[in-house]
Amino acid sequence: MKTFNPLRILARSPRWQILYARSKEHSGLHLFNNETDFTPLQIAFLQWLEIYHSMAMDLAMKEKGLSKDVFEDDYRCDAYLYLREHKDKNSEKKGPQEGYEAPVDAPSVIFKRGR
Amino acid sequence: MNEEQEKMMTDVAIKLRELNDIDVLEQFLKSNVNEFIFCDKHYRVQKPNPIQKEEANKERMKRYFTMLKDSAYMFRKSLVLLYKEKNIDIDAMDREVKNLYLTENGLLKKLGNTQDPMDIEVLEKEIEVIRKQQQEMFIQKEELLKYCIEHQLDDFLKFYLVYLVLEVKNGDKWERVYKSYEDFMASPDEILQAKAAQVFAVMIYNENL
Repeated sequence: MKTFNPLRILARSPRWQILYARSKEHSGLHLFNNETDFTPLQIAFLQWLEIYHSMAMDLAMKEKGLSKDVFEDDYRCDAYLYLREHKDKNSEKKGPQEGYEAPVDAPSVIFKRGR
Repeated sequence: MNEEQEKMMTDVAIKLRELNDIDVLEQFLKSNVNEFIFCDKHYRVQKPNPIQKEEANKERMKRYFTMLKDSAYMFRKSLVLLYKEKNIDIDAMDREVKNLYLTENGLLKKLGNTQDPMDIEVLEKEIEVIRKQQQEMFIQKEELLKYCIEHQLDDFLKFYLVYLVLEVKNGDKWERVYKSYEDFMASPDEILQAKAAQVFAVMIYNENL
């Protein structure tokens, strides 16, 4: 039987997702009774709210590999997030390749005083 | 009752427990202060404030120096070496956990790239098994290392913080339940303390309900 994570179930529930989205738009709307000094449990919950919020945006954008079934399933969610994270990392790596050295006479943004 | 009905009843019981856990968790999330009733009295546990944290840290330091002087206590590193002499390899356990983690990542990658319901079912089961193995290894390691100085200090800090933050409602006022840590340790209210420690653990250490 699959492990059960109530924190994730709550974080992806439509009620909490709507509350979270509204609280981002309106600074007067608070998710908890305390406005600061959050407990580690509340912080973990906020992280899950943000993760599911970003996935809901991906879902709306019809991102590849994401569907409502994936959204509702912890393992498939983890798999989607794993691929997304690694896709992002790979695209970050598209800059200068390993072993690349800029030409010596390439213009620099650092202005050096002439001799 | 036939097998199918029995399974249905078990599923319903599990679902009800899960729904209850969700409700309880939502209560915990509402605030950094959590109230509970025990033997008709109202108690509360809250996130420690900076003064309480400082007091707890000072006490932890005192406890640390006492442990340092006492040869009965060992650091994690020494305990790991001692276990090695007894053919229990903690480092090998760590390596195994890392391998399991890498295997899990490989399975997640496959799962993310398939749409086939059969594949999904098989891969999810495999991930479940790997995660259980990781959890079992973690518990086994915790059990083996629970007597090292580092773990003993962590446990002491948890108990000390519970003693500091546990309050009882007296009329309109909230008062500390115990005057001193010695009172807390000598108290016969084990069930109350266990309840307070559980509430505290969920709030502060994000432990399972």
